[in-house]
Amino acid sequence: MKKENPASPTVSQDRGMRQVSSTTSSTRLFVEGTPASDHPLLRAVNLSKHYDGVTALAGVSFEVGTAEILALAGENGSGKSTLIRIIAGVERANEGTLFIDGADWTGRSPIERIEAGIQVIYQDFALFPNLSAGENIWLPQQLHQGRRLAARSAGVAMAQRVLSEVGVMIELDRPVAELPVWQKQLVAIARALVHDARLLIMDEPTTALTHREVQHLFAVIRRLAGRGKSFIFVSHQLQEIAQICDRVVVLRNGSKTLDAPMKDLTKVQIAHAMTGREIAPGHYRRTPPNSSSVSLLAVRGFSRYGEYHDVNFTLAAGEVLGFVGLMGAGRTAVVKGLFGLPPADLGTIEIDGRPIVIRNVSDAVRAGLAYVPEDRLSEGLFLNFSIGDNIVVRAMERLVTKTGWISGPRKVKEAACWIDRLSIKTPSSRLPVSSLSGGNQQRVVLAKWMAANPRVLILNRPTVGIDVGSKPGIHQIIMELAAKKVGVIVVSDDVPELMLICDRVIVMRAGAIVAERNLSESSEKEITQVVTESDP
Amino acid sequence: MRVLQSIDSRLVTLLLAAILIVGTLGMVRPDTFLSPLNINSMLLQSSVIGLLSLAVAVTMLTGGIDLSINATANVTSIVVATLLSKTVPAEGGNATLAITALALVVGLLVGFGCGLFNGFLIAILGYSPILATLGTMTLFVGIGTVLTGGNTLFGISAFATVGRGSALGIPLPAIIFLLAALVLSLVLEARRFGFYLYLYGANESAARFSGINEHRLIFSVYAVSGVLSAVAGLINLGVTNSANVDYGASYVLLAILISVLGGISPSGGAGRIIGVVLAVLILQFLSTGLNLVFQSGGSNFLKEFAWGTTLLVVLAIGGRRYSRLGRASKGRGQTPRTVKAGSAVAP
Amino acid sequence: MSLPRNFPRHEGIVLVTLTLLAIAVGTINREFFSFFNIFSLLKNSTIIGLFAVGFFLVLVVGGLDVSFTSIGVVGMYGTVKLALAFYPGAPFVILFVVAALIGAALGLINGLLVTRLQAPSLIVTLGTLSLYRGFLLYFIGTKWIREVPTAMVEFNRTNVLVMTAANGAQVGLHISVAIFLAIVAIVFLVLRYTTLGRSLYAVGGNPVAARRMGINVEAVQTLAYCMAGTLASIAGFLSAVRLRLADPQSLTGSELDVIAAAVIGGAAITGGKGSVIGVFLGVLLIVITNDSLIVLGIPAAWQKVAIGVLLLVAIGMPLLARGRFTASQLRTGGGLVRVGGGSA
Repeated sequence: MKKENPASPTVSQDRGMRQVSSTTSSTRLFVEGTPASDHPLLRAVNLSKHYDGVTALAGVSFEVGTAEILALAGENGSGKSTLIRIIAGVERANEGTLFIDGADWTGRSPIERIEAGIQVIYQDFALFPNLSAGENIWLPQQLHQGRRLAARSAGVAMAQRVLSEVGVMIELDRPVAELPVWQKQLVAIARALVHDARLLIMDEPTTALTHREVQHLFAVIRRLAGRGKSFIFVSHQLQEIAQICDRVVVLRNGSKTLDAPMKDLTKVQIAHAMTGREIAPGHYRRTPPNSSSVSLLAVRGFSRYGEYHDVNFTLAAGEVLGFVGLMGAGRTAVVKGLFGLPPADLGTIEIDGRPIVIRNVSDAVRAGLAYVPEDRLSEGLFLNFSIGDNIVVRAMERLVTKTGWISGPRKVKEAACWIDRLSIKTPSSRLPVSSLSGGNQQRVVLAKWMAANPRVLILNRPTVGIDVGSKPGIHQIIMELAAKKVGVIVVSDDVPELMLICDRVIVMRAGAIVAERNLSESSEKEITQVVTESDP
Repeated sequence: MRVLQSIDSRLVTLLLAAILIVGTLGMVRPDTFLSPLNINSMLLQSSVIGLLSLAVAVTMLTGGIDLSINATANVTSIVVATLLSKTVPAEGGNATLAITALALVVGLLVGFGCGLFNGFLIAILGYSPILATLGTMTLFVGIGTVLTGGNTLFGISAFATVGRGSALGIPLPAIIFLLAALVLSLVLEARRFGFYLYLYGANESAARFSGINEHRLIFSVYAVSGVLSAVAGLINLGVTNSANVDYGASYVLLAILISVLGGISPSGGAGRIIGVVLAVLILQFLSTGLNLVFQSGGSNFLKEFAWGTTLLVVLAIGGRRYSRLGRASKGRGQTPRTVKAGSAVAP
Repeated sequence: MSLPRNFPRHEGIVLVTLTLLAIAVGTINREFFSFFNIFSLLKNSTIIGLFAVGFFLVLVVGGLDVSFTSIGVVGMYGTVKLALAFYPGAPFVILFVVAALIGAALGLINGLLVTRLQAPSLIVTLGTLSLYRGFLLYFIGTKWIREVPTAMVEFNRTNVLVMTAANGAQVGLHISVAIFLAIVAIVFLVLRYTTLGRSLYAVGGNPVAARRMGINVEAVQTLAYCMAGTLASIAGFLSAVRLRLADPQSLTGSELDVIAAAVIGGAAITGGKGSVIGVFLGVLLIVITNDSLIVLGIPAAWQKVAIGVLLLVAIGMPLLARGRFTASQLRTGGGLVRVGGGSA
């Protein structure tokens, strides 16, 4: 079975990447269905794992063959990470066996698995930022071989050889910290290959890549598969899975719900296996936003050098505006610019028709803006502090006496009020916020900002990392806010989610707005098309 | 709604330790240790190091540190001493109230200025606190050297009343120290500024994203540290009637030791002032006790040995509370998707 | 430091500054470029330099070791006392090795404490600083020893290189300089050409990734502290050789110069960066600054001020280079605990 290739760039000078070998047609040497040996490369049988009474994996079995690209799909919390850690040997399963080339490797150490050719490329790549790209590639191997002296030139030669196998050239001298993300990823891949990896497990590899870079990565993966390497591609992005993978294994709540060749599946089926529900095309019903002449928020000529340029849009009170686009389109930068984190270089912002200046977060907050960040754990919450403390952070003006002393009782009352309003499941507001689930933690972050009575609430990927069952709850809260005439901006990669909650959607690409659509008049397919139309 | 219970258990431990030490020393040397003279003396001696400990503690709460506290104290006392020696008649004259008041204000301003400079380097220019205060420490010592020409300034008696005075039988310097501790404690625990300070120390980026004014916080904290150090310097001037650059060479270490002993986490966001006060007293009791028991002249060196050991023991007992609090924890197996790919800092 | 390509950045700036300073001083004082002065400068750089290289090694793995002066005096005094007690006629090599071993042992203790206690290395080594010094002064003694072993006295008279000065006098380059330069060279080679050396940088750059690679992070860190201790002890010992005197209360006061040298030379407080060449240049810069202030007409009292300013400027340079002074974006290793795991 041959996969269709997107037209690989034959001449690509962008970002200094030169291709060593042309890839207009990369035929696979191995044809699926005729394995090189009797045994599959990797076979997991009935793997189970429990933590403190929570079942992370329940009897999962699957196989990976030589030169196969397997997708491991599932929502956050489905057990993907646990499964990977067990395969890598970093954790032990409570039950089940793992076979590599037919032999039982269940008890072997991570180092031994690396020797057997199983390598994980983690989301953070685990590179050394202070060392050069070349060193990152050859040093681990030489360490592994037990060498005392570092054979630099031999190492560099090996690195170059591996990179040519991958089909890419990178400046080997530069410290990795200076490389763009996609090159760091290639360094991580090259490092794995130097160890003679046969199976590369890539954990959410496309998170920080632009669309074009994702295509380059896929070209690399296909080329390597053509040489007999296998991949486990861990992701929850349906489009990408459909594009690159031969076979799909879906996990949901720790169990396997799907295991079939890609050609036999539709995206809808995969999504259903991942979420357990049909994606209901629909829309939350509520009163349409105000159509007064003066917008709540009007942004004009918003620009920041190198990030976004001439962004113009308006937001009405009670309206939910979605920002969609591919990675790197600049959406996060724009909304952070609104919040002063850091501020834009140029442009005007008006609230209720009055111009305001936002140079820092204090200005933004004073103007009535609120921002729920993407990374709720390190940017949104103070994990060791109580739920109550986290909620009242922005409400302190109300909770101090006339002379400025914090009133304990008032604080408790305020926290209790929000816990109730947002249905945060906790026996006490004094418990540390780290004791909550992802969904409840997000509610705490929302509570914090709602307690500040914002006029405009900006949410950056608000339901990421929240299990599927809790997402509607968050959507509900957003809808209620809109009903109270708060202007809401939602940045998200999840088009179906935006279809559910937004009135309008703005599409960004490469730092500029390219389209604006009223959702009552557009379909999900249309929006997706506009979003992905960006690249040839 | 303070952070976890481990802090409170630390306070209990400190209290018990203090009682234990006083009790033991009281039994071993009842005449000397528990005499009013000795108690007085101990309280007096703990004032300067106590104020310096408060200074370091407050900066450590933000996750930083101020290594320039002793240098600030000395430069303050030197500046004030120089001022006084120029305005007060050489013999017999006690400085007028006006001049003393002026000197006081000048001293506080010097400390304030030093602190602001630190705050500027750290908040605006982005220096790391260790390096910034290392640099300013050198700078301040240098300035002090230039002003004194390397000598000690003697005979400054303007603040002697403060240095020697007492109210209700407690030496004035001790009262000042305890007052400062009280004010600091109240601000930290019951005012917005304190709340924000703890939050910032626990998680800088979350604090930023929550709209806490980082610049104002850092400036304030280092300014407070500078002022406290200045007060320490002035008290020292009052007690010793002299000022020089080398005074208190080991005080920075001692202040850090006391803060850590008192429960302040070096990574920020945890620890209480009351703990620092208890730690100051404990160290003072131990110090005096060592002096009484080991009456050889080398007791200073024994003390140095003791402090080092104590610090290491406290750290050992403290365990993992000193690893960075507030780092993203995995929380029920759900890893945040937004781990930045390509960032080499692993969660 | 991986390759010469990085040289132009920080080390280059230091080199340029150094050259300018040398020229400035040289124009005022012709004697500056004489053999006598250069040899003398090198001699004055030795002790600080050895301390600084040790300090730097710990910085590379992401730690901070401020106990080096204490290790220095313990090594120095301990060696002399041992020699006088058991083997006064010991050859120099034996004394040297004994000093090194004492330093290695103390450094090992540092390393074990830092890796086991999970506390910031600044604080742990502040503790050992007091511990070692207090132990020495209380339990061993505080007396000056003037009758040092003869080997040390002999050694002090040795010069490796003798040049004839302009006025016909013989000027010798002290042998301790040779030791210093040899050590610098060895450290350079180890850091650059051995896997162990690269592991030091790896651990400093990303301890978590290093662990995944199979590097024993704690062992590497402990080794760095051990090496630092060895060098510190050698430095202390050599200072006693030079003064022909073992004073257990000496060596305090040089901490700032050492730290300044390392930082100015390009080592980052966060770890994983810097080169021993940079440290060497930093030491030279500090020493020349200190020695030449008088020549430039600046009273000695301003030495500390000058070093303080130099230090602040040196720290500020990489911040400036990045263009935007937004503290929140640029803060590196803000407090005492390194971000990214590992409390070394």
